[in-house]
Amino acid sequence: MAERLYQYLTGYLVIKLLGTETERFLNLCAKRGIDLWKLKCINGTYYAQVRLKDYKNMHPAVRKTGVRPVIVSRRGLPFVLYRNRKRGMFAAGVLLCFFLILRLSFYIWDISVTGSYTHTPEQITGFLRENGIYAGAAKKEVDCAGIEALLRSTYEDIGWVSAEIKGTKLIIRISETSLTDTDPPSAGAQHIVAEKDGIVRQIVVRSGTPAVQRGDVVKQGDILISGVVEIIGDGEELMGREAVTADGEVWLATYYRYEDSLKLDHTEKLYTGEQITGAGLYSGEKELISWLPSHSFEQYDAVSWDYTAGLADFVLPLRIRVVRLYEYYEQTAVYTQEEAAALLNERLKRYLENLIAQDVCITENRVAIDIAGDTATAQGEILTQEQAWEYRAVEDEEWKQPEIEQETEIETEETS
Amino acid sequence: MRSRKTRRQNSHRDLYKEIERQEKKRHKDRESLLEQLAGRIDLPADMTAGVPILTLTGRYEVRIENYRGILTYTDTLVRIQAKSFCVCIEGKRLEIAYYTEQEMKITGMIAGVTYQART
Repeated sequence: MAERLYQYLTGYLVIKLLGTETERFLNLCAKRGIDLWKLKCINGTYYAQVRLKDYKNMHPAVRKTGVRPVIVSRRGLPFVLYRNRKRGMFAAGVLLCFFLILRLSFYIWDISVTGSYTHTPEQITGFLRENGIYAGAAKKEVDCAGIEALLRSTYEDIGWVSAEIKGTKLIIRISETSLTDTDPPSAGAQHIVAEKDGIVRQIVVRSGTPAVQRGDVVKQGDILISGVVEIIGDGEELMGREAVTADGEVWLATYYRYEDSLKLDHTEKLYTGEQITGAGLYSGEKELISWLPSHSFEQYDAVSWDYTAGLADFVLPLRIRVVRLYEYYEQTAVYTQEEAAALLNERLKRYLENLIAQDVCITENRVAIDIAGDTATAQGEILTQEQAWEYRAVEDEEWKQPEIEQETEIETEETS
Repeated sequence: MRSRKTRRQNSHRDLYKEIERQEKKRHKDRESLLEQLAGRIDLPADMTAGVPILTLTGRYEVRIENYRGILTYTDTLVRIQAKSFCVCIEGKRLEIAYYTEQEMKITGMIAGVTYQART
């Protein structure tokens, strides 16, 4: 391939060999380092291709053998240029094309976000747009390390992020962590307090003083593990107090109230099967040309696909958007009792799955489904066990004793 | 009239001549001394004895290295001179894809490859 390109760039000739001692001519050419390729014998006439500069070096072989090489056609870039030498505008167009591509490669034309789960790519790109990074921004103004730091500091659940510019594409890879932020705030000593009402089921203290016992009923805001540690002397008298950051695990038995309802009457989409397809050319979000066949749909769903112009990572600010409209009409329908129950159960299941994903242990499910009139309701409590606690800073007055002004006698000894 | 002795001598002479001829023929069909040596000491024969290498890829392509030159070239027959013999490639619509001093490639529908003694 590279060789073909080189041949094209330097130019080559197709020649016809006239004479009798063709084989001898070929051997002589090979000996002199003249490469011949695509040798053909058509009805006793020999055709070959030869490089432009080798054609002149053939002279000694031509003289010795009497074979006459006749040029059939001239191929390659030098000849193309020569033939088009008077087409100034064409050359200008080619140059302009190169210049435009070069100029366009200085900008970001596409931002792709991968790996995000709870944050949609649109949310991330919207956030980046607010911070001056968008499709069309100059590459040199995009600071990848800055983007990484910005995303990490704004979204706390993003554990790892990498921003990379490849061609004209900004690729952002995100890895979200489902770990809740249990690291204590760095400044000062901390208590562990209850996040909600509940009964203490288990308590493990690593540092601090336990303030509750197993079985205690606690209210939201109650101290579970105190950050104040008393220092007891040998004679069991209080020597002093110290503030630390409490550390440990407290499992509380709590409950969640669950309520959900559903109207039995509802509207359903019924697709007619009619669909039409249109397409448009967009630059960024700006529409250049678009075409859509006329239609008489009253209600329809529109689904669109985007195709970006460009090669691999070098994308251009041009997009083709294909839009397809699906016609439907609305129809009122009534859920049967089984359908309603199944739907409510499905929603409850999703709610419970969400709780489990947050490390909540479900001990009992007391949700009942009831259908009365034209409404189906699901309500009840979900009993759980979870580590429902948070940090609260230890105030100074909780442990610092009021300073006793000690009278110090300064004894001075005067020596004379 | 030739004597019995002369006849016997003549018959012996013919027999030995025939044996010698057969021996010569056998010698000719054998590998050359250099090729034998190359085989013995495990050296590639193309380097020591200068024999050509033919690489046939499927039916439509043959690459040849280590040769002297082309003897004949038509669209049905290509004869190539090697150091001690001649390689004939027969086929239809034979083309020489490229031809340099070291290597050449012949494409086309190849019917057969035969060897001829040095001409």
